[in-house]
Amino acid sequence: MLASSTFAPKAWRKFNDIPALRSIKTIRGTVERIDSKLRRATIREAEGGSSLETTYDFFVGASGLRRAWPVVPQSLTKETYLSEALRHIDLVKSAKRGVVVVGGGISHLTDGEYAAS
Amino acid sequence: MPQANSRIPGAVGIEMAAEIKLVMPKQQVTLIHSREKLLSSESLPDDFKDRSRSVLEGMGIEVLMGQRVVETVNLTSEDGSPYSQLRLDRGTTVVAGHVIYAMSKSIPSTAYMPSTSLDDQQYVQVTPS
Repeated sequence: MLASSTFAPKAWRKFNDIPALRSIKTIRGTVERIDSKLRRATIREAEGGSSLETTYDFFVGASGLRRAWPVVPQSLTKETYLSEALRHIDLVKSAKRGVVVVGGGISHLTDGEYAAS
Repeated sequence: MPQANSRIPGAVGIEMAAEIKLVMPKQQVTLIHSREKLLSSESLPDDFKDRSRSVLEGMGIEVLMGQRVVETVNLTSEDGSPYSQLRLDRGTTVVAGHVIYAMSKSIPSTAYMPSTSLDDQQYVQVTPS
């Protein structure tokens, strides 16, 4: 994804492009709040930023951990992701004195453990 | 969301270094890792960890183990291209045209959960199963 410009577009699939997900309603946005007593979710839609509320029977939270670039892309749309990825690939390709990757298996990263930015 | 410490998959740096070398074989690639073994945080057999290093080296990737970057200085070459000098804790310096930091502190994304469901590290409290 961050090395090949031909592969980069394939690494991002829009929900609409996945046949198995077409029968599921997908909302692109951010869950702002879950009220577990009322079983109600407040969602801010990505396009337009309007807020909507929806009730649920079951809630599954699979938002995982937040990581920084370049461990994960930071873009929220395929278009910005592609420009983010292609810019990165170009920097790697054109690096005249080689590429250094820092990190290959650290379990805890605490303040002060790495002085490098 | 089970409680977990901040784990950074060590595989990220390995994957990035290997992908770059695979797609750009002429590019010089170096992987710097602070511990003596790659994938040090993963509960994998030592054989596997050692093999991952030998596979990378077999591809022509320089693997520097047990060394930390303590300082990064960003400079510009005479031809205008950027480069960095990475000072390592052993006193050596590594020069790089481009540096990729393949580790990040993972933070919980639980702000939407009721605060009573979270512990003091913002992870969701769950019943052990």
